[in-house]
Amino acid sequence: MHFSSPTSSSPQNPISNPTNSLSTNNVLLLPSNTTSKMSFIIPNNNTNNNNNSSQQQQQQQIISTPTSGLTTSINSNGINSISNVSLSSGQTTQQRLSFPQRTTSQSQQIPQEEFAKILRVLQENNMTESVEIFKKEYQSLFNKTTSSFSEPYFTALDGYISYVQEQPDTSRHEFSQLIYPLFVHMYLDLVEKDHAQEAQDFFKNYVQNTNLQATVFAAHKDDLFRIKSLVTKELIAQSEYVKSFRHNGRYWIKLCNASLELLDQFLIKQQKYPLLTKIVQAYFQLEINDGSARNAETQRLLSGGRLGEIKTEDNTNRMYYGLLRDHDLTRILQHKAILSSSTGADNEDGVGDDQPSTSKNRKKLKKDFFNQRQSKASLKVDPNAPQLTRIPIPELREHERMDLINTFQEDYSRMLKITPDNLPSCCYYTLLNGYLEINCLEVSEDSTLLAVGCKNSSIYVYSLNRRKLITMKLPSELERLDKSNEHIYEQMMTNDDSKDNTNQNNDSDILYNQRLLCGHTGPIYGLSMSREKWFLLSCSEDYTIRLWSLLTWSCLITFRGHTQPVFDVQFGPFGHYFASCSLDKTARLWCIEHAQTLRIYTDGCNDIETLCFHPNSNYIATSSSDRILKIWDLLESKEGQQMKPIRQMSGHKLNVCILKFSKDGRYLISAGYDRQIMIWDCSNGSLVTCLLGHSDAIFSMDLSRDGSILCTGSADFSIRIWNFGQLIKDKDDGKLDTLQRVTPSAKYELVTYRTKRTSTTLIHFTRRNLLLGFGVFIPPNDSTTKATKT
Amino acid sequence: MTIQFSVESIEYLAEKLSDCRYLCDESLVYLTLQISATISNLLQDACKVLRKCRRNDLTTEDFAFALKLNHLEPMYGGYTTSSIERLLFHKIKKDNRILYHITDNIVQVDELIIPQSKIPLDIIHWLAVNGKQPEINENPIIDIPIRSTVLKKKLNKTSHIISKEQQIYYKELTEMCICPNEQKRKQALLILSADNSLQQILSRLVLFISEGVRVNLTPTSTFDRSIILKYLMQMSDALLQNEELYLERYLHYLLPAILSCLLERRISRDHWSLRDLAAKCCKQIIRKYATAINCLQQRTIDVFYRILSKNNEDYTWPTRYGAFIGLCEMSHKVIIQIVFPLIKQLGEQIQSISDIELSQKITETVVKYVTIAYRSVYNDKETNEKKLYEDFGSYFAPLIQHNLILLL
Repeated sequence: MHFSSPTSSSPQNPISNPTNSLSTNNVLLLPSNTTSKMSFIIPNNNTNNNNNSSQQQQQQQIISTPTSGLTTSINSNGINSISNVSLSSGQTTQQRLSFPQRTTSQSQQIPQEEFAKILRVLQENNMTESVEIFKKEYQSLFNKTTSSFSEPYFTALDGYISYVQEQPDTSRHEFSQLIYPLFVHMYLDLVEKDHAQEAQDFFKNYVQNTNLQATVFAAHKDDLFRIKSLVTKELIAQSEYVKSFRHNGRYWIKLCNASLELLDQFLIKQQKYPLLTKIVQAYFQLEINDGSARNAETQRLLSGGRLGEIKTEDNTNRMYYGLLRDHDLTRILQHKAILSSSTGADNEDGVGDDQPSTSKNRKKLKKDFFNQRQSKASLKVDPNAPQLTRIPIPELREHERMDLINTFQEDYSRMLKITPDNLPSCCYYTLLNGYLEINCLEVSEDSTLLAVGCKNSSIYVYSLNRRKLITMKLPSELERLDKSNEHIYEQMMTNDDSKDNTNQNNDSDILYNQRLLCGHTGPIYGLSMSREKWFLLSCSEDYTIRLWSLLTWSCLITFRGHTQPVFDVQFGPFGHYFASCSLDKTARLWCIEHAQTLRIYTDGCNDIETLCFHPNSNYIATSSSDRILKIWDLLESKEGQQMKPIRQMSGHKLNVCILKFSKDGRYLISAGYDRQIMIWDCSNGSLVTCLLGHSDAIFSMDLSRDGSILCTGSADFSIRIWNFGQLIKDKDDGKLDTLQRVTPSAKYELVTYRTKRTSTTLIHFTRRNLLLGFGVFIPPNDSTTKATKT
Repeated sequence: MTIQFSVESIEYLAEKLSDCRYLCDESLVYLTLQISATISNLLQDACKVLRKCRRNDLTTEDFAFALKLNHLEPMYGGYTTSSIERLLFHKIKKDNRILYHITDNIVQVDELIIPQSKIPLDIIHWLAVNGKQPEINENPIIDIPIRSTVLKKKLNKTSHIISKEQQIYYKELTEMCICPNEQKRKQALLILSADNSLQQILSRLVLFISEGVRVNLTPTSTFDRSIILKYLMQMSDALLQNEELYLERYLHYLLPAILSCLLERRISRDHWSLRDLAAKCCKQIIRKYATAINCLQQRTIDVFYRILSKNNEDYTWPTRYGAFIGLCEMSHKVIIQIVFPLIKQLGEQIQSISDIELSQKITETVVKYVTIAYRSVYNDKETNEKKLYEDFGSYFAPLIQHNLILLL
């Protein structure tokens, strides 16, 4: 408890030792001439001092014990002041530091008359020695009253701020980077040393400074709220935030050489404010940036991480961001992309003609396809592509490959090319009756199934086209099938779909177009469907991840391992692997064939909120509550080494909602509550640009199938379409004039679509580049308030 | 997000919970700090779910989640899933104090047993086709300024309070407008047509006109209503002349009133001038406020045309006169396109009227407007007599020809 163990943890407060103070008391207040009959009446209820009251009581007891006679009585105010005086006189200068805080509050209460009164009493009793000491103490106290404990903090920070303002315009922003972390450390220091009130004043003084608000604190608003609620020492000790701020590493600051020298001069050589030097030495790490000072805008964009910026060294390891060279799926995808863009018209006819109907035709087609395209694909060898065996990925099965080729051929040949003149059409699915009930949405890759995760721990699966949801036959029926038949996969399913497709009425239509999956015992937070629509993954508040079969409509495995609610789950691009992240501050890699975790990626003290798989299945990207994006390698690190992210990016000012890799795997796009769409280059972890335009949090994002169009959905009831391909092209040509800076919406935004009262939580491009938007209708309710929205 | 409880409320709670034993001040201060901080931490945890589920409204269940996450005892009650109303915090404001609460009603056992939550339902529509958003019900109105005026209207409806002075002003003004004293009335009309501070009480004034017309048009009103109606029309005329006022929001009151006066069935004293005045008002409204979006002109013309084009005796001649004059007042273009084809038929019908005064009046007006419009199109001095007869029939053609010659 706060008042039962006063200041014992702080080394600068040795007065908590009662025996020590006892001796000093004896020496000072009651000198050797005990012949003087003197005692004080001590009222029991002294309520006028709030801090260190238990100390006070101890002292008062000490004072009263050695006396027996009763001659003079002084009111409690007087006694307090005496005990103060006597105590502080006995301590060394360092010890005195802890006291003025109390005396400031009381020094105003000791009027001149009181002082005179006490003096008279002492003089009357011929205590000359005491009188002298008393006088001395009183004076020294009064001189000190103006300087409180927090004074050095104020002067130091003020001193630094004025030092920053003295700097020339071109490099001022470099120095101002230090203000925020200095401020936080100072505030935490003050609170930890039990000066809550002064800490609050300190906080208010700087946070309410409009100038600082706009510049230094703008990127850290979220954390400032957290800091404000830390008002006692115990809270600091418990706080997750402080853990991740103080003990998770040093605050990383990047400066240019010239600025660093100046700063060194100011902090180390001049030693004007030892407090600053101490904090900087203890908690900061300064890194020299090559060349001249960075642009102020760039620096502002990259700030926002809880621990400043990212160590350049952290992003130097090689990342194989290219697509898998030899994998069938990549080949199919790439091949089709080439087809559709270059010789779209020719092939369309060709496809229409040899639409395969027999197995021979199919196989021939397949053979042709792979032989023919081998040469084309091998011409474009990407040096950044990882080896196919780097992360073992299961081969596609024969029928899977056939299906893929067929469907992709059909769909990609009809794919629309989206250009500024030919904007995408958007089909919008509005979910009614779902506000506050529906937590997450997921759509299958071929846009035929929609999965809805609800708060009441159930999962609904809908068919988006007119076809029924298929179910696999019972085992007894399966046994009877002829396994050599080439239509075996179609026969395995219940085939009432084809039979009574014509004469079914609407009621059964609804019934069979919807499935309910029950099993979780907590709200569903994440869903992911595998590419071939066989499996559905769901994660929930009940710490588990479940794998559902979409053929038998049952739960296959429950993956246990997380120790806190699981927030997101996603299948790898080739299935087989999947990743999850949780409030237990880990992201985990799993494989659907094993119930155990394959990899655990821990992130110090921060919750991991969303994740995204790299298209080559070698990496996952995560975003955590310290607003830093991290890319992790699936490859096992060396023996005994902790898993370290291969890339880290700081720049978001509020929590990130959605991450996506570009189709070629080179760029990572992130967006979230701070309304920024940030595009990162995975090759070196640098920021390409930041797109601004939305007026509220961005919840969803997707790239068109050819990777040229970016689409974002937001809480401002709008969907925006961006010309991503043009942006990357400009960047490669060196024409992007906003490299590492903010790009206003007008430049690359193609169009904005508005919805009525639906914030788009899922957005999806079909294989033919039709845009699908999904959102839950938010019923207007005037009586509700948007309280406590960070 | 700052949470600060007052020491008094904590003191009250502490006394309640510990059977009225008192805590010392320090403990209370300490408790207050601790509770504030704990709640703040819990809310931060609750916001994690809020963010994850992409919502804006914090629900009690989010808070329950935070309790669970911190291994605290769950709260009982307070969250039933039956309706959104119950899940969200409601705001009460009284004596400058704001309190958030949830409605915690007594729940029937049936409600708990039978799941109440509705199955989510999806509606599909085209948000955009080839880059354009179709104007269908599911899509929002894209023009943002229009949207904002609609919102404003809504707000005004709920909280339009006028001050005492304005109330007096309104009372004086309306009394002046309908008093028999000619001079006073003129003064009032002058105010109506010039004062730009009227916007505040405009809605009341328009309502006054609208209600006045309604009351005075009812068959039971015995009062000499024509005079009152005329005064009211004069008022609307004056209001329309006022350049500073923005009447568009109140047209749905004003225009029906004016049209009622214009197309009134019965005949009262001096009703011709009343109709003329109403037609003038109608013209002004259409000139000022008709746009392609609200189709005001089209709709008004439709009303008039329906009356005129019907052959049978559904409408009395005064009504037809009103419709006719309404059309004629609009513009030459309207006369040429819509009135001209009707003249021939009208001429035949007028010949059958027994009331000479009536037929004369109508004939006079028709000839007057048609001649002017005709002159504006066919500006040649030599008028084609044959064409005139072809266009306007044997009744009107000679009269128009005569007038045309006079105009030269």
